[in-house]
Amino acid sequence: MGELRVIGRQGDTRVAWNPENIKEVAAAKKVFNEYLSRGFTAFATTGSGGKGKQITEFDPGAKEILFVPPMAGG
Amino acid sequence: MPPADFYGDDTSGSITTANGSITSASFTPYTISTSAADDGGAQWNSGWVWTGTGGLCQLIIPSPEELARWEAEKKAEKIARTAAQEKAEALLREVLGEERFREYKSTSAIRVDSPGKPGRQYVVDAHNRIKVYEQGKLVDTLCLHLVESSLLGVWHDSQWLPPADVVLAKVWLLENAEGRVLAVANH
Repeated sequence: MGELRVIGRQGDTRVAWNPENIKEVAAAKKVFNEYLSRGFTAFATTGSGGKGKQITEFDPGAKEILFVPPMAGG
Repeated sequence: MPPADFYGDDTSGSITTANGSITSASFTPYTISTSAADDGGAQWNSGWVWTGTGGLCQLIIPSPEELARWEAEKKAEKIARTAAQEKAEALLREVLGEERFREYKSTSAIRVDSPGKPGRQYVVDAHNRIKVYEQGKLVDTLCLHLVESSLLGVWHDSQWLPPADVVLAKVWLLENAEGRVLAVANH
């Protein structure tokens, strides 16, 4: 199972998918692309401790993807 | 004289100023006052309020039903905020690990070693600029916001995100996209 987590107003929102289920993968990919188009940054996490790799395309094989909101200088 | 439905209620609410802005106010049966921080103070005057800063405010006197609704909304908002912060802390703990979660809980901040420059360390909390230390000495501060755009405008992180999510996101960005953070933030 893969899981997409989006940092947001009510705490994180989660979208899970089974990589072998085409419908679930398509639904997760759609959510991924929506947040990307809103300026969020996606990271495939690589275990506990704060390490990840920025991705710009949905990876159905990813275990966990974390979306971080857009940034701006204050 | 204040309207009848204003008698007997000791509570707080808001007043709408002549220019349409809303400021918080505390109501007692015969007086209405705003905090100095909001409006410089205000005094009751026959349905209008002269503020300490010289502005004329029209009073919106809440009915008991409105007051009850406000109270219910405030209570629901507080419950939602608490739940969101609990979720955010759980995510921070899961993503950054137990040790850094404990650091956040005890100091409300997390230290981040610069991935790109040995000897540099960032200190991230939810409400202040990111502090930049080199060899233990404060050398810079970074103003960085996480924003949400909508038709109503742009919201900065403190207006829409739970504090633990703000910290997690900034720590995550520094550890995985340090160059972008340094390019976007105001120094």
